[in-house]
Amino acid sequence: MNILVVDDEKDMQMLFEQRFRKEIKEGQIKFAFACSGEEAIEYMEHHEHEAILILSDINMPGMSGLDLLKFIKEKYEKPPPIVMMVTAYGDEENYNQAMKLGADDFLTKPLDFNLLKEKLNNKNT
Amino acid sequence: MHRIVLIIFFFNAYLHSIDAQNSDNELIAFKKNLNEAKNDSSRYELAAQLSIRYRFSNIDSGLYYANYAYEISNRMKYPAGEATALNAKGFILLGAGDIPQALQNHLMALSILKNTTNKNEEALTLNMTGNVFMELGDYRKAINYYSLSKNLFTQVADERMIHNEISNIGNVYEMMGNLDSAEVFQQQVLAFSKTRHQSNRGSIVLAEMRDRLGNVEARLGKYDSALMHYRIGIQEALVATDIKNLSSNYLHIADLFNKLHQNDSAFYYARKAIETGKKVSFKKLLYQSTALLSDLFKLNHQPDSALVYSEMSNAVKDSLFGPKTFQKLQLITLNEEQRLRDMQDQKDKLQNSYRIAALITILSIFLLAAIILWRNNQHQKKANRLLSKQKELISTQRNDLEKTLNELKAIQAQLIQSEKMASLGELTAGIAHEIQNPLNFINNFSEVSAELATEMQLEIEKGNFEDAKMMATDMRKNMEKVVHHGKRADSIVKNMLQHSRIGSEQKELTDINSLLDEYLRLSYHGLRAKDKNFNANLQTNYDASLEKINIFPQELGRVFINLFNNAFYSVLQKKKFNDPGYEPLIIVSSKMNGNNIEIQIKDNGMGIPAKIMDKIYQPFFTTKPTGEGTGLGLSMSYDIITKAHNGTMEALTTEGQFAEFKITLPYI
Repeated sequence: MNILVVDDEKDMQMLFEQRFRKEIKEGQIKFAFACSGEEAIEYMEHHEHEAILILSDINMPGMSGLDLLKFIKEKYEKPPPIVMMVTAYGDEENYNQAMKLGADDFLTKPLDFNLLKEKLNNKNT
Repeated sequence: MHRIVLIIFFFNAYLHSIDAQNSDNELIAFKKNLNEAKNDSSRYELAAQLSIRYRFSNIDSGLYYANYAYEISNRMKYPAGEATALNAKGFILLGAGDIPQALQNHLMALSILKNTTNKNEEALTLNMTGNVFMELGDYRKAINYYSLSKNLFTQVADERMIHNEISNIGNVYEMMGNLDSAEVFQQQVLAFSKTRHQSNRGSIVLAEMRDRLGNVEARLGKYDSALMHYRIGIQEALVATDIKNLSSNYLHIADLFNKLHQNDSAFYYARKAIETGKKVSFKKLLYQSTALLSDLFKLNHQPDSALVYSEMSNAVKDSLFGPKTFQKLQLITLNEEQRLRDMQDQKDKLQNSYRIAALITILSIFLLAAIILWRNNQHQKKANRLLSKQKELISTQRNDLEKTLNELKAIQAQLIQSEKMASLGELTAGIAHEIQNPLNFINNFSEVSAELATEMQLEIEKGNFEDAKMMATDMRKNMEKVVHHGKRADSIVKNMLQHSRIGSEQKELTDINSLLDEYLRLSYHGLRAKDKNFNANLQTNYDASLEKINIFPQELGRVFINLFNNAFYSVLQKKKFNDPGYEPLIIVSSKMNGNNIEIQIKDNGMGIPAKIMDKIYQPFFTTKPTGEGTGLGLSMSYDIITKAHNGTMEALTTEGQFAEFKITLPYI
């Protein structure tokens, strides 16, 4: 399972690698990281045919997570990649907008990694 | 015209006493005219002339016509005419020896003339009054009246009459024994008469003057000269048919001859004097002549003749100076004195009333002036009081103002502080968010490290040291992250504290881009924390080549916070009211511009209305609802940029479209 994490906090990469240490080691999950929406889009263009799950922050300078979500859902119709949005602000508008734009899930910071793992497992099965 | 002529006629008539023989024909003609006269004015003139014509020849007729003239002029209300008629009466009465009546008439004439401006007639009347007193031997009064007369004639510039009065006064001096003066006076008149001697009429009475000069010289012992004057006087009188002065000259030359013991001549002239004196009925002359002749007879030892003339003389004397005459005179004199006193009293009263009026006027003026001055003074006092009150008020107000100013300064300091705190408050949420992230990392990395430690233990127990070693490396990296994010949080808190700190800070070489970014994030997240629905596009165009600049980081941070907050507030407002397609956008740029760093913060919000553009930097000016803004943000920002950093700050805007703040900071 390929997961693309998009967050302007670069340390998120290391944190994810640590948190999913076993899963990475066992080859269950493969992580890619992008620190902006633009970078994420570039990555996806190069890995177009890989089944992918995108985990994106909403509040980022430049292209926001919602912009990315909109772009992905419009461009990649079949099969549409699973996009899970993460935000520090669990506000309704963000949530509604994300859902409207076709987000598959909505998580709030601080991330509960156990919950995330559970959700990923569910997605996997 | 007739009247003037008449007056002049009177004049001459009085003076000369000559007056050619009044032919019966003339008198008849006058009377006829009088009977036929159609008006009072003609009647008056004719009556007056008739009284003159009769004055020597027929005293009763003279008096009758004089009275008639007086009645007519009285009826005509013609005062000058009345006076002329009264004077005519007086003149006739004096000649007739009725001195009291003569005096009364002249005095009446005088009192009438006092109310007119007829100076000639008045002067003439004074002259005649003087004559009366002369006859009475009251020289003091005589000289007084002559002097008054002379003064009046001087006023009307009548040379002839002036000299007539001089002669009269000279005569008085002679009578008073002041012979030198008398001589000088008479010589003066003589000299004048010689320059004017054309005819007797209209000239000085030469016979009278010679008579008087003769008297003076005789008394001075200059007998030859005296005799000469008398002789000339007799000649002049005969030529002028001046019977009175002829008689007088005769009398005085007789007197002188008597003194010189030339009895024959004395007898001759004394008789001549009586003879002529009887013609004109001048009683005084007659009295003196008869008395002289009586003496002469006595000296000549002719007692019978002496007695006859003595009795004649005494009879005339009695009528002239008898007790009755004196009683009458006294009465008239008393009356006149009373009248004069009354006049004087009236004059005094009038003068007094004038004085009183003047005094009252002056007093009133003074009083008025005093009142005005007092009022002015009061006004001034009032003004001064008002002024000092105002001064007091002003100084009180100044003190109050000073106090208020100090209070305001304190309040301002407080306000600045609360503005800082307000922006801090707005930041709190942003700060919380900013701290949240590092805290998340710290928590996560700590948890992960704890897990790693457990796993590492297991691996070591298994003897799998390679894996354990790898885990130890990861753990160390994690710890580094914990420390890093710990410091990050620490620095955020420190900044926050610095932001709210009062007092001066030091300038520091600062990376403007980082500062901008830091506060942009703080502001944005602060707003997000407050309004979770808010979202805005943030576009940053930082010039990476900018060198660090020496500035007050916290102060400048405050400016940025303000501008960002305003920008976010503005786009938020616009989003609330605008169409759903509106996308809020904040653009932050930095670049080099000459020796300055130029910073632009632009939003596509409401913009600033043109009408408040000049107010945006004013303290306490705010467009936010009450309680939401302090109104100090921009004014403080402006001060920080322009005063603390020597920079510039300007706003560009189009209402409803955008607002852009451009800041330049010099490198110095």
